[in-house]
Amino acid sequence: MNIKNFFTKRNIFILIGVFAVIIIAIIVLVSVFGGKPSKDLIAAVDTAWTAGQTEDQPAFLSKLDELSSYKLNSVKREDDTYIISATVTAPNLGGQLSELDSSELPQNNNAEDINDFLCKQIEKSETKEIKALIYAYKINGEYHITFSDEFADAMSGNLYEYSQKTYLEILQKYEEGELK
Amino acid sequence: MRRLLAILLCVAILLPCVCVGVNAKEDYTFYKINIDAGSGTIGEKAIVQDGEIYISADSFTNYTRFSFDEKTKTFLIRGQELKKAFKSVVIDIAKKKMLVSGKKFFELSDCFEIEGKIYLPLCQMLPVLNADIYEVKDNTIYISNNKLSLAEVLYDFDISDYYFNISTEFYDMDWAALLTIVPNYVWDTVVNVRFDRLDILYNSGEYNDYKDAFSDFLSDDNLYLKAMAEDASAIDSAVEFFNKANSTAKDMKSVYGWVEAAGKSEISSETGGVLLDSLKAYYDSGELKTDDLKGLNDAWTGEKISFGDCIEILTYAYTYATQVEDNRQMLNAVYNVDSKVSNKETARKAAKQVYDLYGDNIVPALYKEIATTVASDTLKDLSPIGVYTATAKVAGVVLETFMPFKPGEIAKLPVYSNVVLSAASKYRSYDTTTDESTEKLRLSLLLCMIASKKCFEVMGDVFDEDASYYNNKSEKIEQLIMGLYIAEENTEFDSFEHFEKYKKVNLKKIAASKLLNHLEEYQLTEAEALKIAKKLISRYETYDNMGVACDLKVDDNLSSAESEAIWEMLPDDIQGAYGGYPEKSMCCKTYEEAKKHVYDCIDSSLATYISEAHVSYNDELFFFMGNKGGVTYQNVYLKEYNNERIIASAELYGSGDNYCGTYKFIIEKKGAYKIFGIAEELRPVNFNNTYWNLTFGQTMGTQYVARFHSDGTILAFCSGSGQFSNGKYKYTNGELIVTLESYKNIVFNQIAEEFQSIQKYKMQVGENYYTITQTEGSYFLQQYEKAQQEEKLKSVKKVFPGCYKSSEKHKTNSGIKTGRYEGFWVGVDNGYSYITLRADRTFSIQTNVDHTNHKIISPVSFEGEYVLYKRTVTYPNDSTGYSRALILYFEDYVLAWYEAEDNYFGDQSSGYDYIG
Repeated sequence: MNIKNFFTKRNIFILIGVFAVIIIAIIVLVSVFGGKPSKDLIAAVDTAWTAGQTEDQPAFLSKLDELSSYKLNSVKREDDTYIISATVTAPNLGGQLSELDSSELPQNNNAEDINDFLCKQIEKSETKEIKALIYAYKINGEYHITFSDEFADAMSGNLYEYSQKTYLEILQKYEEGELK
Repeated sequence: MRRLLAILLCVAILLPCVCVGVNAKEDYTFYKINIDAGSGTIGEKAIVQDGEIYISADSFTNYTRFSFDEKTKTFLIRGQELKKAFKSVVIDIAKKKMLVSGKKFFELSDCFEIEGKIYLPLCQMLPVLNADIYEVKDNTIYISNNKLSLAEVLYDFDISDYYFNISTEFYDMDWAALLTIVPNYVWDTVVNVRFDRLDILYNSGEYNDYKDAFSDFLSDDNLYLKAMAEDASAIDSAVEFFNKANSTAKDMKSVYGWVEAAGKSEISSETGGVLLDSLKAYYDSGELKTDDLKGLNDAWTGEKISFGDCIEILTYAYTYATQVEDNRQMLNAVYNVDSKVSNKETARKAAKQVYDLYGDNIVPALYKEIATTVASDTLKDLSPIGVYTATAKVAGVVLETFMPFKPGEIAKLPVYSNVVLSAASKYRSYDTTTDESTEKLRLSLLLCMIASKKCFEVMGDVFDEDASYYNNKSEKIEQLIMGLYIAEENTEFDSFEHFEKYKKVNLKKIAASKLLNHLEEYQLTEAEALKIAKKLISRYETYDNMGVACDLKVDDNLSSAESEAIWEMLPDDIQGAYGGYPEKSMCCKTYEEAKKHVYDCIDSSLATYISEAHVSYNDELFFFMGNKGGVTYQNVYLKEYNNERIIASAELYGSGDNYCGTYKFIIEKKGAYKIFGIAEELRPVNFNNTYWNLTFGQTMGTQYVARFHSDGTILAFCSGSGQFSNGKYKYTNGELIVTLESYKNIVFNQIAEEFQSIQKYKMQVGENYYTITQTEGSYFLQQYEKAQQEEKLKSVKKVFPGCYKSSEKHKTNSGIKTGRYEGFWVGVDNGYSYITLRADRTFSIQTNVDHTNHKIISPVSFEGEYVLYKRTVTYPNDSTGYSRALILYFEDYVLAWYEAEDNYFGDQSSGYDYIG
């Protein structure tokens, strides 16, 4: 086909229409499913998360850090708010502890013993994969990262949820008279 | 190369000379600058440079709540220690900088070190030290200190001592020990160590749980109410201010008219202005309409309530609205509800929802409802707390229509504790570098504490047997929350952002006042020297807790029971630190310290007069006593004051030596017993036209009220004889010698501001001292004026025997008595008016009257002395335009009065009448 004949007025309109549909589809897809997070954003999230880690932290936390990971899948932007969808893969330590009978728990308050105990439990824990959100706010050109508690809890082996649940159970048992 | 070396050598030689710079200057000129921070004017020794005033660092302790430590060059709130202080100001003289709260350096305009004293810029330092120049008037700089600020509220504050930490609370539970070992450990590690470092929002929990919790926090007014009751000064001053503006407001005949007056200088003030500005803003925006305050207005104009009550109600409405707004903003400080909130963020979403529900429109709604409803009921209790309670009741109803809240339950504990953790995490991320950050620091801590308090209350409900432990926790937090509410007003003084702005404002006030245009060189007078002594005394700070514990047992005369009673009064931490009830022998050393303290409290030049001082105990009062060198402590007493402070006032009598004065020691009984002795200034006596009551003689009839003059003379009025007489006096170093009528050379000693004779004299019953006490002089002046008038009247009466003194009512036409008076007569004859005045029937002067201008035309002199026309002749016209009365005044005396009949003067007696 002669290229000159292709650029008829009719074909040009069709082309413009097709491009417009493609662009709209991309916009819709990105806004619904989100785009890929930028390198800056990934770096900001990494920096924010590792800020919580220290050299002298308890051994069980180091072990959790070693075995836990996250992947940033997509990001959805609303003005200066970025909602990042992440997948966390980490040992479900909280779940593992919940399964134990009280007699299997350490019998003293020695931090070393508890640490050893937790490290062993981490090895026994199943790996759990969950989807969680991270929020980023761009203020003065810099990202401020806020982790959802699902994310933070998952990366911490679901220990926050476990502790809170345990406390509440104990309180309720006390209130119901099971504990004196 | 040689040239280079020569240059370097020159530089090396000259450099030290350059570096010595300004501070090496020796010939400073010191000026006297009057400063008043509410406790009397002090003539400060100051350097003036580039429009700024430099006063010595320790002088700031007289005008602010800060003390200055010479060694460390540090300002701290009085009584605080550096390591526990929220705010500190360290001066670096060499670099001319100051480090505030260990966080930020500020350049000083300049500073000088002269003879061991550091001189710092007044305008710059005041805002840093939580004070401000209020105004400059009558050559005096008036300084106002702000109220409670974070510097006080957060002294010795560690959030972990206050906030609810679920793992800590379970840790001590024996029955739960086994079950909680692991959760306690992981909670402590994960939450308190790791999550605190991260900006994590705890969203676990249901949306509605958060919403209920937040609503609960917002509308919990108990503590705000308590805080306001403790700090009623703001409300009191607003009420006082509006009472002063009463006349202005009454002229406007409406409550809402005040809003219009907000811009008028006569009723604008910092306190009242806030209320009016707030009202005005809502009127301007249309959210409040004039009818909205009609109920209040009607109650006032109908005289059901007073104007002051109106204002009090409105002030409380404003206060309540402010509290709601304050609590609303704490949600924003923690949950950033101003930025976009995702649906997934449960807590933030709930916070935003509550934040929006209690939106701006709640405030005018509160005004309207409170103003109308409260005013329509008769307020039984018009005390500040009573009015607030009534206000809060109505406000509560209004708030409930926006969002009813439910009481906390155990199931909400996780939600509450999540809020605690989120708020604590946010609190740690804020500092005081900016206004915004400082305010958010306060607000996030406020939310953290309110939520913590709820947690402890829930725990207290569950664990009945430990209720007192949780109540104690709760009460401790309550104090903090109240402090945080009150500190709201002053957070800008806690932040660094405004230091520069207020410095400029202060400098402008000084410049505008032209205070520095007429400087007076500083000279140390005796009075100034005594004031310096006061400064020295006030610098002496505290015992530490331990020291006080010992000091309270210093007196070997105490019985065991008394010592034990003191011990019981001590705070737990002191008892704990001491490890048990100590033996008396352990206190010997500290007895010496106690004595030293009393010496140090009193300037060294005065300490020579003190032979001993001891602290004893009696029914919760402590006594300082001592005497030496002719100076006797008398009337030493301590008085309890609002359950928190004991004020000790030691009055000292002097005889022979140069001493007299009153000292006050303030013993603060808050948490620990601290003594920060402050001596009242020694009182130089002003005998320049001052008034004194002289209680002499055997009966009341021989009492005098006298005016003392600076030339050593006295003019005294004797209440018995009703006569004035002249006397003389001599005052030297607290000794006063008076001679008056039959009382010759009576010697008095000064006691504070009064005088007492050194020996007793015979009185109506037994013997007693004569006394001379100062008075304000109105009675003397009244008597003096009366005597002068009588003298004048005597001379006037010589000339005008029939005159009488006019009064206000006599100056009106209707109020003057008619009748005949001897001595004067006025005549009008066929349009030719004349007045004939005469002192007696044998002498008269005739003059013309100008009917148009209402005065006597031709000059009338009387015996060459009295010029009558210098006052006026009035004869008000009636409706016909004719004069009906003629009143003739001479100064304040009505000489003549005449009422015409038939529009014609003189008809009463054939055209002539005698009057006056």
